[in-house]
Amino acid sequence: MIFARNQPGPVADRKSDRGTSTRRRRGNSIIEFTLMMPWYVFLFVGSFDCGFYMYSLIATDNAARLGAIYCSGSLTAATDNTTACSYALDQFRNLPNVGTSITTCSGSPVVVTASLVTGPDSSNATSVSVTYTTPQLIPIPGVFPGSMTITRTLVMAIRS
Amino acid sequence: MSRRRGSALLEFTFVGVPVVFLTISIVTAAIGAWQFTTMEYAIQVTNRYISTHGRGCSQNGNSCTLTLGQVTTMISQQALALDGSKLSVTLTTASSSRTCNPINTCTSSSDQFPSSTDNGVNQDVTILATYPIANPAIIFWPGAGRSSAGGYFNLSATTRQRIQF
Repeated sequence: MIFARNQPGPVADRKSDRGTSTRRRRGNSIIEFTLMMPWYVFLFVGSFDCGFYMYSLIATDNAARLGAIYCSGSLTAATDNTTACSYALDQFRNLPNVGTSITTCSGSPVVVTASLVTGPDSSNATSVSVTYTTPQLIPIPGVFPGSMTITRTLVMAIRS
Repeated sequence: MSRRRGSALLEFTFVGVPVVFLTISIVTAAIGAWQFTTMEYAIQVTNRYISTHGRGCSQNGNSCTLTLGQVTTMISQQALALDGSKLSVTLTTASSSRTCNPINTCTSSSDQFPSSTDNGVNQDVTILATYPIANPAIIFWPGAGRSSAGGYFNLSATTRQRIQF
């Protein structure tokens, strides 16, 4: 069977189908990309935020421990906020909102309070509380608020 | 059909490179986090050990003073995740500072540490440790200690404690 060039027939139909199919695939790719992109973006942002929060948690933990070790030295040191602050700040120096510019612990981002308390064995103890507020990161609605405030409190018996 | 194959290869090339980079970065960052935690733990435990081996160790018949070799060996033993030929530590006392770069160079030292003038109660001992890791992704970490030449990023940890005994 012979068809004229512009006449509809099997060959022309096949060509026409191929064009429609390619366009349809292209459309699908754009939709898939649009659907997946937010997940990838949130995955990257979430990983970044998580790493930052974990580092901050470790630093706050260490700061509270070092502050408590100092304050447990004597009754005088038990309430020495200033020196406890200097030990605590050492642990936050790598964080961008502390660096070398912060030298006191009376307000955000780092607050250190040391007080004399009665320990679980009824002897004198020091209670050191360190509160650190992270810098503003990229928030993920409903998951990460963008900034987190971490508090660690340690009670340690006074040695002398 | 042949046109589709060509585009698959092209897409794989575009996507494959970032995926490989991302995978390597994730693994290396995880190892880096582990190394950092280990290093921080090692210097804190060692500094705690030093703080209980001050001047009291050479008085009233006691003989428990430490040597630089013992201190650096303890750091190496606690820091299992770290290569002793890359780890650098600086130990600072009231009037002196000793740098072991790498730490292996000090493990056989018999010098007393802290020295007899710097080991009094309430004197500070500071340990600073740095360890290089190589990964281009890590340079995006905010804060101090950004990448140096060659794509290396120095992990650093510090601890300061007072001598108690």
